[in-house]
Amino acid sequence: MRNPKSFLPLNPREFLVLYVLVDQERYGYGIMRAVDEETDGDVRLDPANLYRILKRLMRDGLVASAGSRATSQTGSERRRFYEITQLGRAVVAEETSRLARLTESAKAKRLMARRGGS
Amino acid sequence: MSPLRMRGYERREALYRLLLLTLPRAFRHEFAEEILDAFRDGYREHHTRFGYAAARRFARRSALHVFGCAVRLRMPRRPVAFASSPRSSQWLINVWRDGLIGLRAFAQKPGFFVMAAGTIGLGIGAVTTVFSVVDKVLLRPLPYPEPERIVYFENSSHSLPEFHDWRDRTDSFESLVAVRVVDYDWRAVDEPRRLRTALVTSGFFTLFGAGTVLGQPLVGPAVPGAVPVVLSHAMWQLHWGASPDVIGAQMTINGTPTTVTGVMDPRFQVPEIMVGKSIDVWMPLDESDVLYQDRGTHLLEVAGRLEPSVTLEAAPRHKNQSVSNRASHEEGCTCLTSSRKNPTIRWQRFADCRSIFKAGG
Repeated sequence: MRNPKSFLPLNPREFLVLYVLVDQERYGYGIMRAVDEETDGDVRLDPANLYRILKRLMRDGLVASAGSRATSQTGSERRRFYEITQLGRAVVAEETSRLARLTESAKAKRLMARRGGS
Repeated sequence: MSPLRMRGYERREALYRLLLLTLPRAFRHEFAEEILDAFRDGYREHHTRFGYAAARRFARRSALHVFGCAVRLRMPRRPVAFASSPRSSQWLINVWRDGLIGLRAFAQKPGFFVMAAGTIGLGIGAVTTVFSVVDKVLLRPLPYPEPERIVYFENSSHSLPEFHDWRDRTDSFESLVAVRVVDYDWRAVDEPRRLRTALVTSGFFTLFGAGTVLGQPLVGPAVPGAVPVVLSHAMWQLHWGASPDVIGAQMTINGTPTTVTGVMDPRFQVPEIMVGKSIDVWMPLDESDVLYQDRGTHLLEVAGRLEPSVTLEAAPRHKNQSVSNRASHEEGCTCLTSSRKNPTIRWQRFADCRSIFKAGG
């Protein structure tokens, strides 16, 4: 398996797509909606660019197809689902650690904005 | 909710399908249907949860990003290392790199790119327009032989006796010509027509270097009973179908029988400052007409060609000597001077009369 650190730093959108796939398989619009919710609407993927990102992640072996099935949102319409691979999980973990270290550093430099006045 | 029942969906999906054609073929074959599914799901959810306006915004945003996606898919993910390339091809590498940076900027901010391109386009257009006008009005010489020797008599129109005074009693000019523009009736075959007619004195065509494509230009003064007429090139094409048989054709213009003797060369540009923009026919001015005998009847525009040895700056003195001295002795002779203190008649170089709205060339 390729070294997960060789993928770092990840493109922010690629990271978000991997991130929302960590806890469950998702289909195209499900990924878009999850990214939107995780970022409070700051990042809104569009369909074309979502599949551009998925294509790249699949090429690198970070994401794989998990077959097609109907969803509760689409009724009888079938959708192809995507799942994160073991390598993908390792890459997300490495990227999250890298970002966490960066966040700690930013905190030490008092760069973090206080939230909620506390 | 069925896609067919969502307001405005079918039209937007059709447009979105068209935009997907900009994606690379292989990518399209693999993902186009899934992309459309995601587009449909997104539109449906926005329509259901937030209403038609939100669905419309989603569709617009998705459509705008397709082009950026198409550009990104055709670009290498990271710049290729060119460090080992030979120096001779460095310029090509730089061009390629600049192109990639441009495409990437376009993909990231298409709105800014369009605005920048539009601004540059407008700038180029404005500069081109200004240069075209300046070139025509100021830089390009008038389309007449030795235009620097042609002068135009200002101060409105002049009478025929005045014209005769200047023509016959000065030695500053190689030739002087006068023209009057009138609207004449022409009893055509089908219906009467108005003809914008230029009545010119002899030498007009020579002074402006006007030629003909058929027949002869007007060379001599008008001869009663045998009035020649020269057609404009447009008139010849429009009413005679560019037939060479037009020479010798009879036209009754303003009740006077005339004979077509020539057709103007289409390259000849009329001196607009004297006759306006378009002339249908050219005829000789009948100097014996009683209408022109009154010294106070100013109907003619006058231009002249300076003698080769006379400069525009020296011409006033030259004329004052040649005309004014005689004028002091001869009753009725018109004084001709360009002095600003006594501006009886002013003239200036023909080329200097040009303006945006009175371009002679």
